[in-house]
Amino acid sequence: MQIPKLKLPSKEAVMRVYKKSPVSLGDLFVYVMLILLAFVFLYPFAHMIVTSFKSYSDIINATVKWIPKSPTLQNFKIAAMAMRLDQTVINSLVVTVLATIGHVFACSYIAYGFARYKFPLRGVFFALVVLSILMPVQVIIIPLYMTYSQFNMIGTYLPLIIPCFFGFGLKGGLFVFLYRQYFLGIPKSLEEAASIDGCGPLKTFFRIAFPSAGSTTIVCIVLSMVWHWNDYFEPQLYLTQPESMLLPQIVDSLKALIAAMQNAIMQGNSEFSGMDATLYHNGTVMAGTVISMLPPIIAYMFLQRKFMEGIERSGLTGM
Amino acid sequence: MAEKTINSANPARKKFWNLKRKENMNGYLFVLPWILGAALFFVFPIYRSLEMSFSNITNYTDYAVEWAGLEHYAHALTGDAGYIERYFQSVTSLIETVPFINVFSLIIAVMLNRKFKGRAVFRAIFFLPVVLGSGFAMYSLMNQGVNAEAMEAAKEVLIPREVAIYLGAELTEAVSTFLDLISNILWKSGVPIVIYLAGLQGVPSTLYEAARVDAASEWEMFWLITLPMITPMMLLNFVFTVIDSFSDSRNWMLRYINITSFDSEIPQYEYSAAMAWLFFVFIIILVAIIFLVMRPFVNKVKDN
Repeated sequence: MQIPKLKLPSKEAVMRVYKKSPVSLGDLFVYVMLILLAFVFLYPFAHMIVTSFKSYSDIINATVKWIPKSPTLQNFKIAAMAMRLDQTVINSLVVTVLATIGHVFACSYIAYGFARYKFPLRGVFFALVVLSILMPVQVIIIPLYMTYSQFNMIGTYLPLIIPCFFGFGLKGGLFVFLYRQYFLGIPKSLEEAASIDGCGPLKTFFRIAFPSAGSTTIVCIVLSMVWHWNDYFEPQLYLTQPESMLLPQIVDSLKALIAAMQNAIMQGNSEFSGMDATLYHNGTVMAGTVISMLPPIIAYMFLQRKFMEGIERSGLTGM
Repeated sequence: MAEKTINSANPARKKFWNLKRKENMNGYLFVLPWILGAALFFVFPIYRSLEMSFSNITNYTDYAVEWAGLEHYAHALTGDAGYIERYFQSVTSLIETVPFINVFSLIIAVMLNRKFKGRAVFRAIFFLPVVLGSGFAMYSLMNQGVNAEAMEAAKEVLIPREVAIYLGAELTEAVSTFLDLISNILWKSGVPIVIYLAGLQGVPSTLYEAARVDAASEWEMFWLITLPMITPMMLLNFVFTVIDSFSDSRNWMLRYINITSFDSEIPQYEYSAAMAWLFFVFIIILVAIIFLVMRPFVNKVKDN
């Protein structure tokens, strides 16, 4: 008996079934949805950017919507002057950078202790860390303020920076939590090998554990920087002198600042001689807002990829 | 025998620096900065704030206090209409937004997790709120009426006038309310999207491959694989969004507390402390409820 030869489908037929069309229906749906959402969401943003380039005549002209007839950089110049940008940006940078450094080193160091060693009261202490994540700072702000004023720290940046070096400060508990999660997830063998070779606990942390936590560190750097840069509540309590204010405080009073500048010009203040007297309009306010948003956006553009990788590896996914 | 000789070599040292003690010491070595910080910036302020909420300040130079019992708490709950009103305001806005934020960020994360051209661009766009969402600049931008103005224009693009007339006023109104909600929610969902995306990428691809072999559709795979696998992320995100919305200084309740303590003519530190504690107890209860309700659904997948 002869076995009938099995008829195989032609290679083309197989490929027809398996070959994906360049854009599948699902992809199309995703595109449409994402574009719609991005549109709704980016509209105010685009509006802000366009407005910041409009001159006063474009602002009062209702026919000019998206494309300014006479685009100008004057708004940015005025806003930067009104905000005393050179001073303010340095203030904000100093606070943000120092606080972030504090968070990264202190939180990783503390978290390593929680993750690797058993000691009495560890459970209680860690419960307090979680409590510090949950508690809005407003609950304890009055005694905190009193403590700082006892140490003569009001009016300086110290109340914003020092707590970060102890694992507190703006959402410090969250960073301790993230690092602990990471250290719990990595195998102990490397550290054990190091300790057999005579590496003490501090050296083990600085030479082995901390360098291996690079991805978590990126996450902490990005979040801590962004949150400090944007923070408004605490700076506004501690810093009342105009020259020591941070960027968000200045943005808050942007309207008043520009209006004051306009008044000075109208009264013939020589500092601003030769400037258009109609400074105070939507364009200048928007320009100031754009300026304050630029630094985090630029920083994020460089760190975005690493940030995402970091979130994936930070141990959040294995909770 | 050998052990005994070591013991007898220096018995005092062995007795004091045993392994357990050494481990304790090392633990404290690392946690010491936190303990100092906690004493100064956390435990002591908590104690003072609690004490204050139960007392009256008699002297504003050294903040001496005098016991007043539950007076301030009673006033907050029964005597102050503003407190109760804002309490409900924050709770309603929370109940309105938290589920929406989670559903939206999950949908967006699922879409961003697919492989398609231009994914990097869309990712960059939807991660923008991570950087700007907490920003005061964004807040003031929304407050300066730009958002309302922009939404008006966005609506016109999405629902042209002719269509609006055809749909009728009510439906158009519903759509525009929905759009308002979306734009607000999207600005709050930066971190949740990132967390969901990380969770999605942690789902082993072998599960999908096995399901595909068994001819499962994408829809079935979402409900039977994706969703159960990211339940831990869901719990995390629910807790995160609740805390985020409650610790945000723009929250109605916190604004009221701030005004009472810092902006009013006579500072009422005691009363504002009492209000803050009541609010905090409420947060703790809410987070505990979320944990208890969601815990049974959270998958614990132990990978080998």
